Amino acid sequence: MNELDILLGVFIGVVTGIIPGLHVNLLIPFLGNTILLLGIAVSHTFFDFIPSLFLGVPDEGSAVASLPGHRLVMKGDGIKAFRATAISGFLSSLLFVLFLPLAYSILRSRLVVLVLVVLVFSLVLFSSRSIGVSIGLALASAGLFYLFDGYLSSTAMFVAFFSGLFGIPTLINAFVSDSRIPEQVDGIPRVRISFAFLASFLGLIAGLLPGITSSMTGLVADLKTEMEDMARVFLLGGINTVYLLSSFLAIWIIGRPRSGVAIALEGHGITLIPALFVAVSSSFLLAWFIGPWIARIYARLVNRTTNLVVMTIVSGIVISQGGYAFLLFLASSSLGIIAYYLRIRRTVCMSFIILPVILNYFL
Amino acid sequence: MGGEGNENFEKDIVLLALLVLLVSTAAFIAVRRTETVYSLDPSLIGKRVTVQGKIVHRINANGVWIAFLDTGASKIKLVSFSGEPSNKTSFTGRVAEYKGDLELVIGE
Repeated sequence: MNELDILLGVFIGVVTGIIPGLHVNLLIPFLGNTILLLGIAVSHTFFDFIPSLFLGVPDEGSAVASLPGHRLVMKGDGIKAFRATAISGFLSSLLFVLFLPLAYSILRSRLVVLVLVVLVFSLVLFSSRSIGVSIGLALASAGLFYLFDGYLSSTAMFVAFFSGLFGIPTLINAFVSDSRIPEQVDGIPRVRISFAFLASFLGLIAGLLPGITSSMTGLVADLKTEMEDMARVFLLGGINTVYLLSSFLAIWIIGRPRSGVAIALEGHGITLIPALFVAVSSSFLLAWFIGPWIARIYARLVNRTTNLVVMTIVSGIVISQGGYAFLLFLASSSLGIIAYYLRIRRTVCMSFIILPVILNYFL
Repeated sequence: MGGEGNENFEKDIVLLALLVLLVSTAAFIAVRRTETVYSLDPSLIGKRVTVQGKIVHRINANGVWIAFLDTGASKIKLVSFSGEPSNKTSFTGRVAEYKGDLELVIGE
């Protein structure tokens, strides 16, 4: 294990991050418990916003950001939005250390954990404007989750479900409407230190609470409906990175790691902490200097043909997870398309992840 | 690159990132130099490590104390053992090869 492995991982994470639909957990079987994986995972959280913003194809962490982010891209502010996620990811990672003692004291109580999980669940479900249809979609998603539970690994399930729910409807709509991405203007977004603090706290909570993902806590942004899209994207950029860092530190706070990568790297012990900050700072510098360049290439490439190619890549990644994964992908794509055209927020479908956690506490 | 943010912001944030990179790399190297291991393997030869375990046996050979440590995962031999309290559970030293076996040379 050495410093160069982390930096090499950060470079590889740039590539994995910009491939739409690719989840870091899919690399674990090939890389084992090497520190390379840590660099990849951190860098991935910075760069996965590019496909999320420009194609509307997010992964688990950037799902909620794909909708306001895509709106910014269509206004020509995609590069500024990407810079906002990078700044937030970096600053929030520095600030979240301040919340560690608070999180430790809060999460020692099972009752508090339960209340927090229920609160996030309610927020996801009831912040939607059409509660009836939203509950229907949430239950359908939960049904799919139980139907495929046992047939698929959790990684395959997330890859298939999120690609179908968030990626395919946006890609199909872009394909049908043949919408082109306008010229993107570079610039420095407004820095919101208070949002970086909020992102740190929410990312930490998401990283430690059972059944909660970074996208769910990101729904806090939806509570304030008049919030600008740039502010939402800034908030979500921080949550996404801090969520990953917390999933590593969970081993010391709640006694077990909370992500596939953290489980794979559990044996590295305390060395992981400085390694995480090496990866965060180098990922930020790469995102700052080469991210806008990659984003510009992305913006130029997006057209009907590339939409079709991306749909093929995403389907290929899902098919590589097996036939059941592809079935789940088809089903979640259908749910996503229904929600998209009925104008129901697709994030309500994510509440399916929380249901089993709540049931486990009550039963 | 124009923008609505502070014009010095780009310089400040890049400098901050470089500073964090420098400090965390230094911390990473320092921590790694005394990484905690639970069993010795050949890749650790020459590295300074911390071993966690309990002393199960110790002998004095020509004035040099040798102790045997049980980490749970394996037994590790310590030489130049200075006779610390037997209830101590953490020992730091350099990994050396000795007659085909790996051992931890304390105090080098």
